[in-house]
Amino acid sequence: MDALAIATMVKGVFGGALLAVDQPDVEPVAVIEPEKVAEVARFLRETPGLAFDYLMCLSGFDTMPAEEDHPARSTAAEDAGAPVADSTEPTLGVAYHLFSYSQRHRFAFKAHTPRNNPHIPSVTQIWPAADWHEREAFDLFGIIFDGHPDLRRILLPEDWVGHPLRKDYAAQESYRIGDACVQIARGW
Amino acid sequence: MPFKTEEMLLNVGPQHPSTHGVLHLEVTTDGELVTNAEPTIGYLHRCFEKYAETLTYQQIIPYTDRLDYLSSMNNNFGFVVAVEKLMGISVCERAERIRVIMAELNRIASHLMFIGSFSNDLGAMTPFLWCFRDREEILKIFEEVSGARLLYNYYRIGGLAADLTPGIEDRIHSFLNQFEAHMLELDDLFTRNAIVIARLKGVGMIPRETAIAYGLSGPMLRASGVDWDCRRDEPYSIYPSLRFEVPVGGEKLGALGDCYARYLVRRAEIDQSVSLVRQCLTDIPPGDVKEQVKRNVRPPVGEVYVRTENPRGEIGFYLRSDGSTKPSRVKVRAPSFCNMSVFNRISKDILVADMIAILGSVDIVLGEIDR
Amino acid sequence: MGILEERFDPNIVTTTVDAFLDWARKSSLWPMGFGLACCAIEMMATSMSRYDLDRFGASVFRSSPRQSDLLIVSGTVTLKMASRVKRLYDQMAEPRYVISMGSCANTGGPYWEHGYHVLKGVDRIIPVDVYIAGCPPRPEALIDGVLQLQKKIAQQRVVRKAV
Repeated sequence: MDALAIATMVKGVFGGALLAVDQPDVEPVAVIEPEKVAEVARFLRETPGLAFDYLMCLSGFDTMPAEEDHPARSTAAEDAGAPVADSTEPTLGVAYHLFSYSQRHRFAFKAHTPRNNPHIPSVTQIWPAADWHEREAFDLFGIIFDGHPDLRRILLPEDWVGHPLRKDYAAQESYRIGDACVQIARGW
Repeated sequence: MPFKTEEMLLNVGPQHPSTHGVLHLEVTTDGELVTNAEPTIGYLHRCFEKYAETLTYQQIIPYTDRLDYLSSMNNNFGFVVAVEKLMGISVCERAERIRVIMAELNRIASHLMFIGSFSNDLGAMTPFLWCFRDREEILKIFEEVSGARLLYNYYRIGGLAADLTPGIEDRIHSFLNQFEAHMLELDDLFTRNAIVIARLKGVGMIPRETAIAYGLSGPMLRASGVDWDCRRDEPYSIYPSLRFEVPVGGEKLGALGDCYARYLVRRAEIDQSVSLVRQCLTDIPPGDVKEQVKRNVRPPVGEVYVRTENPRGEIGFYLRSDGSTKPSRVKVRAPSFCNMSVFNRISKDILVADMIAILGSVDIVLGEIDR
Repeated sequence: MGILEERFDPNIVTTTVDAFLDWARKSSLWPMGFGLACCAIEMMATSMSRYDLDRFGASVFRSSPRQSDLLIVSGTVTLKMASRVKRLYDQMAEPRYVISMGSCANTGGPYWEHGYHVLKGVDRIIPVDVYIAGCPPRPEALIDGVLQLQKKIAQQRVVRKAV
């Protein structure tokens, strides 16, 4: 089924929870209200005609523009003249890319969540594959997946401070290794 | 007096010969039985995704080499296909042919490495040496075209770094002929070896539903009986014009979902790759393979998720562009990462030695698990 | 040989204790089978059929640090891994040697600038004898590194005090 048709179906069931459909003519991505993510996911997984049994990818992202001192960045956005797809207030977000082996179609949706209190319902009950992906998004972005059975850091050590893939992340000055302390910042 | 057994915690890795790198397994054993094996990853987290946000699109390519360092060409391929889709550009026929040749040769090299290290895990040394002998021949071809033995940085957005060197077609042909004979020898030594079959048959079964639910891909998925290959079913590049079979576990292959099936699928894929390289080598059209785009490409605002078939499964690149020369987010959906997440599920109530066989059959590369 | 010449049976060699010990040490380096990242693949290739590190007596890869006397740091050392590398080094028995293989182990390599989780050079936690440049170094470069290390070992003074 065509991704736009699926988005219409979701719209029909969840109404206002589907906020928008981004880039409809390239690769449509539905924008969902964060509270409804798990319900929409279950609908996509269990509706017979949709049957999205495979979670291809779950990615966190941060919509904050990178540091201001990049002239390339700011001018480019103006040149393009496109509205910045994600709202003016920078948010964190999670994008879900789905595929169905029985129906052979794909669908993508995403949800935005505020930077200061990022919460999104977990989809591990629907796709076990989401387990490690959500742990990674928690580790690198600090997004809290409500209902995840074991939300721990996965890549970075347990005693790490901060979430590095946030655009405003400032690296730690140093890190303790045993009884030694090494500098993280570059330079000797 | 009854014997009392106690559960024992066994740490496998990060430095261990059969963890294929720096993987750490926290294994709970009850005598010889593994009751739980919890992988701890992240010992090779090299911050690729943060790096990608600070580099221009062309500059990211060498870093994709270092994700799955056993199949650098395929990683390059996946990334440039993703950026080209974001930008909506196409590449000349000659460049696409060469891309497929190199990707398939790299698939062979990667599977050879799998067979070698897998046999090593099972306690056999000879296949390791044999596989490295043939792998070196492939590396020689790669070195000739790209200048590097392991991390090639050969693909470019909109083309390739360099054209084929004169006469290399003949050398690839002669390598393939020799290689096929070597593979028949390897079949005698390893594929049909009674000890190997006894070690692998029925070990680490992954049912079809589990494979899909955990998002397995590549040979792991096909061994469980799912007939899916991105090259054929979600085609990119010139794969639609090539003829090849997709080996799937089950009746035809003689095994389903166990370690032996995973081995057989990869073994059969080698033959398919040989055939693909031969098809691409015939009548390569002339053309300019150098990239036809500017060095600093500037894709329009948008996001794509593109997946391509790596030796280990689907490598997916989720790219978000904010219209500047640098991506705003690059997420790598690493095949080993998803394949490894099922490990805990299937390694329960098995023997310790079987756990090593299962780990070998997953064929992980820590560089892309941890990124 | 001077005054010792012709004083013994024909099959007796005279040497110094230092030279003998150094010769023994440098000719049978047992590296630890410790792969970290991409460089580990080249390290394996070096010990395999074509390059055959065994020719230099340095390819008996041991899986335990207790049995090995050469640590080849083959790849990126991350902060999570660093304490383990240090512990492995501590577990090795003296005399022990370290080869830092590749740019990542030398300085952090390509992960120098934004690698928030990468140790900028393994020499910040353990002493290094030989550095090999390259990303990854070719097997020939690793062989050269081993030869340089052997040269270094040959100059060690074990019994005689340095003058």
